Amino acid sequence: MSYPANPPSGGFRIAIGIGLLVVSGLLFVRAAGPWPGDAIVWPAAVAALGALLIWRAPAVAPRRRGSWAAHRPFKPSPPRQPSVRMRTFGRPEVSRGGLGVALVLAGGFAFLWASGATRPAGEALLAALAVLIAVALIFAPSWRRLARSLAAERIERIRSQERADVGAHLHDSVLQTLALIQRSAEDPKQVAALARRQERELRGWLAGGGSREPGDTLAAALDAAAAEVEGAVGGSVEVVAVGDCPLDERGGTVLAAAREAMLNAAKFAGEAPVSVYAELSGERIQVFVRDRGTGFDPVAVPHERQGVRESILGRMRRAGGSAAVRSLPGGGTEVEIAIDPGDRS
Amino acid sequence: MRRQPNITLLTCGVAVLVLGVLLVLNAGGTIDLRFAYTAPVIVGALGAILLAGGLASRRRGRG
Repeated sequence: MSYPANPPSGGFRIAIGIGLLVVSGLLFVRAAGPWPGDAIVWPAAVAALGALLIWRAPAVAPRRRGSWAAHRPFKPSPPRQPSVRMRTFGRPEVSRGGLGVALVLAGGFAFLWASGATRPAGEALLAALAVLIAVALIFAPSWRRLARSLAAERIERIRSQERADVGAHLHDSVLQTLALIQRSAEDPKQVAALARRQERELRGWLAGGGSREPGDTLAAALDAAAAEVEGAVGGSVEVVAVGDCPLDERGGTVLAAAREAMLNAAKFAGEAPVSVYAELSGERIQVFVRDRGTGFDPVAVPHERQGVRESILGRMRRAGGSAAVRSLPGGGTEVEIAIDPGDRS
Repeated sequence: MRRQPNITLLTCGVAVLVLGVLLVLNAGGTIDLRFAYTAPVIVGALGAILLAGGLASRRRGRG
């Protein structure tokens, strides 16, 4: 016997199996033992099954509001599962509670039908059914309009809430920065730094990383360090990170070395932006800090200057990683920082 | 590694065995196997197989 590659939990088969065993027992009693009668037992069995389904139906869970805006923080959703409210029997539209109610009603009606109790009430039931159909036909258009207007109102409410969220974010970030820029209009460096910080924040928000804290991951910490360097020295530091990894001891060492490299680059890059490219994964962390500044001869650096020698090269060597400085006078500088997971930290 | 028995196949085998014994007894005249008795046996066997399959599937999912 073969099984599907991803079999269900077996609940459906267990339920059907228990049901068949109960039916088998009932059939056996019907053949051999005292039997109250088909009109009593089978409707009672159907009603009992319905009651069991109702009792075992899960509680209604509140639905989460979906997001329509593309700029919302992206969180990968888990594989789609049948919702808690709609526990399924193979087809996702059948709810367990609804099926239970239908079975209980069917069992009761079958009992009444088999015992003949519905005959006197048959005409009254027919009249009630006709009235119900007539009422449904008359009021169906209004009900439909009502349902549509409710749906439209819900969509409008969601939209207005999203607008309020976007408005609040714009007020807290962009408008505040614009006000600060107006106040420091005479200081071009300050204006550039404010604009740069706002651009970085807005880009992060649009890319869905708005909720990322600097202490969470190395990519966020590199962003924060770049903003810090921009604030301290001026200029522009552009960070491009591919992948991400947690900010553990290894990441902290790389961050400290990269921050020092950014600081040096921002000091000597002049007007040109400093670019930071990071490849971050659980296997290897690699950060490149480049500038197109004046450059220098690494061999000619005096021994007492510890910035590059200790804060970058020595720090990475002690952590078991590696760092290299490539620079030529007038040709810019590139600092490469790398560490592997197996490296001693 | 100890091989786990296939509960579903085992239940199928027992069900067929029971059915075979009943048919032999019926053929020998020991019992009178009418439809009223055969139906519950077949339905019960199907139920037992499904139950065993479901329980085995759940155990596999847990393990």
